[in-house]
Amino acid sequence: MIDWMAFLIVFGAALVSALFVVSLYSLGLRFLATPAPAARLADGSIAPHGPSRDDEDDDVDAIGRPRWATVLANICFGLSVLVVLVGIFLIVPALHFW
Amino acid sequence: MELTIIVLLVIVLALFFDFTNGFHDTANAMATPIATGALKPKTAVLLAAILNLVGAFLSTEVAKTISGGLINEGGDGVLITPELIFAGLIGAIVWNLVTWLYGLPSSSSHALFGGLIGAAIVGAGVAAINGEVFLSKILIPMVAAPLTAGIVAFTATKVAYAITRRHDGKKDGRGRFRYAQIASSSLIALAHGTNDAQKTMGVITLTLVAANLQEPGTGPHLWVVVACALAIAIGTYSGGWRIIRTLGAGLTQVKPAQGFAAETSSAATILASSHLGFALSTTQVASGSVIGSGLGRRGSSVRWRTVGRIASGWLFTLPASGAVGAIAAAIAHTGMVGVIIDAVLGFAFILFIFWRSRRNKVDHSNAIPAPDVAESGYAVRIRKGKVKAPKSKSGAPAPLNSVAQTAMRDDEAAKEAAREAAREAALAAQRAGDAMPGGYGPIPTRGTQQQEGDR
Repeated sequence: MIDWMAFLIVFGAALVSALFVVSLYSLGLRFLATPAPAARLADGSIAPHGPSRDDEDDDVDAIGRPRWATVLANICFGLSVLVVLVGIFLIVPALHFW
Repeated sequence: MELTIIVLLVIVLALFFDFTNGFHDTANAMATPIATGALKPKTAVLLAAILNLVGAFLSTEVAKTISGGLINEGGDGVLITPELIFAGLIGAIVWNLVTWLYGLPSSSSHALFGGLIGAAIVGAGVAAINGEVFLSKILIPMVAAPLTAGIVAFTATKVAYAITRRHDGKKDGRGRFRYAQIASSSLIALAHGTNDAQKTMGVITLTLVAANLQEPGTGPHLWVVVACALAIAIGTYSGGWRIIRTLGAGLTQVKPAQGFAAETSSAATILASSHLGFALSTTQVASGSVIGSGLGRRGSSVRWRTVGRIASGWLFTLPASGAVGAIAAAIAHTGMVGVIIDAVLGFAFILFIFWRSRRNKVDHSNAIPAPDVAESGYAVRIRKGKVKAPKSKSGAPAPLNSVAQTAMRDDEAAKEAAREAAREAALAAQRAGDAMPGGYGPIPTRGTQQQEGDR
């Protein structure tokens, strides 16, 4: 008999965990790319929106990034590292004590 | 005496199968990081090889049945003899080499099962096969694996791009997904090592048990573990560059964020399937992820023709390796002479495939077309050259906004890829005019990026 329930569980678990990791790391990058508040208000008005981009820039403009953004970014990256450790834990049978 | 020779042959063949398994599956973990330039080709295969080696030592629990229940083994079923395993291995190796020659990612486990099934049918008829297990372990997962991974990767890619999308025209830093790619692809390689080397250890151990050279129920000998780990690591290091080309550049053009999403989806799906009890093939998961992520990125497209080729490869895996396994088993049944004929034929075939593969050599230097690899190096050069002097027909520099610049740059990259492909195709045609896949040209619908990419 085909275990459809097991399949659905696998699908759900894969979806949730993959989205979790990807969102986490993406959020980290997004925080890194947070622009300086002053830059937005250079002449007293908010800078006009440029076109939205789907590029793959290597860098972000780090100058003037608010401190909280850097902190949040690093928290996101730290959590991502944790998730990798969980992955290693799942892969290595010797770590399964239960 | 006879027994010892056949056992020796099985061990050698099993290790060679392990080797082909390694180079067949390098692409699962390393095609996308190579394609985005996250890892240099040689570094990527070295990393994968080390992780496979480590993984092989981490998990040495050997399966109880050689075919995972596909064949009604022991008792009232088929007696799994070394001859049968020998014939099955020949079928699996032949199919692995053929699919490698054509750059098709296909499941090594399915090839092994196919070979064993073919050999078992020759020995004991169709009744030897457990149809229900066949359906639930082979056929359903063949659809479920790429579908699951594809949907997960599609969603993950959408999310990754949505979160990092800039609406103020500033740099998005998505290139930094490359760092994460190293981690996600490493997880896949490690998981692969723990799974796949074990299969060969199982084959050798069960052969030793069948030949009364090892107590039933005991784990693999240390030399078996070491030999299998080394075989899969060397195989991984030699890199199935043809398959890396297919997965990294043949299905869709892979960008860092997309590559990370694809690898994470693969890793998540593989781990979920191995821990929650619905076994899925790593190869099929990885292929599904790449396709799904290609569908998920704006301005990207998927080559359905290549998808079709891969899918038909999967459909043929069991019948083809089964047929070869059956023929090998039929020959082997004639006794020791048959086994030796099998071995000679198998060896000749291996040589033939390697000789054939030299006609259009694919290695680390040309597996992925240059513009894809060197996002960081090559593409930057194009970008500089292009953005500086984009001239209109009148010769005057045309003012370009960032979107147009992006489009031009991509255009240039595509042209470069086309030139590369044309050069390769010409070379290939010169050499043989055969039907083997050459270089992959640019994705045809690149033009949609301009209208779609800036919504």
